[in-house]
Amino acid sequence: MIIASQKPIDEIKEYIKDYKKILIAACGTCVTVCLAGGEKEARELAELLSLDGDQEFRVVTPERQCDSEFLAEFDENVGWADVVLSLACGVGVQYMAERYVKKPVVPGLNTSFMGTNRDAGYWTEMCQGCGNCVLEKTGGICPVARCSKSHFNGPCGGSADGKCEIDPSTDCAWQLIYDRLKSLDQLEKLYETIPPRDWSTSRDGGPRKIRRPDVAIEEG
Amino acid sequence: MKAVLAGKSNYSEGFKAALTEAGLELIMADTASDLKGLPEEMPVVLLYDAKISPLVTDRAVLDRSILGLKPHDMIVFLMDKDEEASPYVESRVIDAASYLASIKRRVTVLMRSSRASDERFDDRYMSARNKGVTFIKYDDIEISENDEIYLIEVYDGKISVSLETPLLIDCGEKPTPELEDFVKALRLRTYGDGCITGNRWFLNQGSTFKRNVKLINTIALDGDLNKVIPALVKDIHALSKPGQGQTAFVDSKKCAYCYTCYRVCPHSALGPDENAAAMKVNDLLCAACGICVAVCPASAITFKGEKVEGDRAEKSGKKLKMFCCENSALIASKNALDGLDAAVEAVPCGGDITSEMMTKALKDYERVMVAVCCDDACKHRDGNKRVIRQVERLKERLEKLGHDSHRLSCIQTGVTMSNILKGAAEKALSGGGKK
Repeated sequence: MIIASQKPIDEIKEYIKDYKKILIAACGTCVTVCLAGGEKEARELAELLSLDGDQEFRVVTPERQCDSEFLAEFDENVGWADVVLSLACGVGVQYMAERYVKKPVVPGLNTSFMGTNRDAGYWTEMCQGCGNCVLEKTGGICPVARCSKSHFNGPCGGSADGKCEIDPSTDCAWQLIYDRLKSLDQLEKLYETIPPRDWSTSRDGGPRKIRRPDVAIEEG
Repeated sequence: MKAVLAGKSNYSEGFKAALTEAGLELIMADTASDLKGLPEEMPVVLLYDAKISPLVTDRAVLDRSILGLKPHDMIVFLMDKDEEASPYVESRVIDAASYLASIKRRVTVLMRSSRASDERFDDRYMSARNKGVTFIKYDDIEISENDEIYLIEVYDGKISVSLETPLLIDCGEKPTPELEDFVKALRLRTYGDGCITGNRWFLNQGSTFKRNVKLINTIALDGDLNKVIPALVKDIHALSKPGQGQTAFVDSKKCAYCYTCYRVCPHSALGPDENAAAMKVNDLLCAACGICVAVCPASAITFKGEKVEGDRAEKSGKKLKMFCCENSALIASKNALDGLDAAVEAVPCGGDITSEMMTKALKDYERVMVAVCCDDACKHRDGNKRVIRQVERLKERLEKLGHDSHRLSCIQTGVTMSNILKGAAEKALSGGGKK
């Protein structure tokens, strides 16, 4: 799931200060679940920003903003609004901007990472979308996303008592990998050196695309 | 009526016979896995053995353990818990310490927290002190061991005391692994961080927050089942009726199926409805605190049934709006606010109040106050603390927007603390503030 957090409210206020009618576009999927941009957060934001009383707000919450079919729900309200404040992840904001070419669309969230909900109100990063998964070799614990230095062949000198040197509350990913492989009786996997990798599958290769020709509609 | 008798104990047969005789159809669950497939709302009687050190509960074991000690050796009892120990444990510790002092042993009881609020213990403490027991209340403790002698350093914020002892008796109640399994399977919620730790205080009935689970500490029974059976049977029969009036309701079309309500509900009343791919409320367990209503990120949960009493008018022309928890502040507010320019709105728990509600009120009133229960007095575990954190967050955001955050305030109060509530309301009203 995509995890995001709401931008500081003064920053949001600055983005919309020149507009009278503001459409707050919430999103009903990932950012709802991580309590950043769902119906509840959008309504709270509308109440808070309207305390001054000189701006009008509407809230719309589609299932998600990253599929064009759901965006149609916005059409009427976008016509009414001077600006769209999107509480979706960066995907939703951009998709809205693409659809409504003549309408300013501003972000209300900082999209942070792909992660999991560890407990009520607590999310942690698990995957960096590097495009070439090595989890089979590392006991199901990602060295790219969960090691601060993305090391592939063991911990650095900053690992102490199972914790990472950048922050004592962050587990050392390589300690986790070692413990997990030990419990699986697969420690021999650590003898295999993971070679320097080709990062072109990750962000380094530029914006990525995936196509499934078998599903695609043939252009005629 | 069906009920589960859970946990294996020497008393299991006794309870089985007594409860069956009282007309209950019992399902036995010796282990936590036996609970699988049973309806979540089914009454459960969980027998557990608190496993206090036998040095505290068994005089013969204590006698044997001091045989090898020298006459001047100190014996130390350690009650290292942030909260009060259960009355049973505390009384046993005082008795054991008194006994040792009466046979001319040097005894010290170290306690992080003492039962200052319970008068029944005054005489016990006095008598133990007269026999020569030393009680020390501390804030910090360090324990090291050297050649079977414990070196203890305790600090109470002002002075530190050092002790040496060959016999350190840990008086904490220790959970058995079987009990841990039951606690997890039954989703019993705890005070503190919600994790299962060595702290067993939550096993007191008032702190389990799940109305269909009845906890019986078999050690505290002292062999007498009749102490608990009649009340237990009455409680179990009362469980066949849903909570009073109101319960939460999930709109399955709006539900994001995110499990946030499942995680925060102190009464474990929410669970997944796999057919609808949404959460659903178990009416028999729901205590209508409103915590899930406030926290639901999709605004999918509402109350069904009758509203709580009180003025819910959006605009009353008054200057101060007070959101009062019906368990504390609402009762304290009766007559206390006469003549004040204040409108009271009752809420079932502080945890039901949202940032949106408070912000809306700020539009209609000059001042907004939230009045909730004192620490650890919330009958929904942490509804009071939830709204206090909400108020802090909202005040921060108001400041960032350039608004006067002093217009919003929060107070913790009890049912008898009318004067405190009145004082806080007067203070808020005298503060002025811009509209």
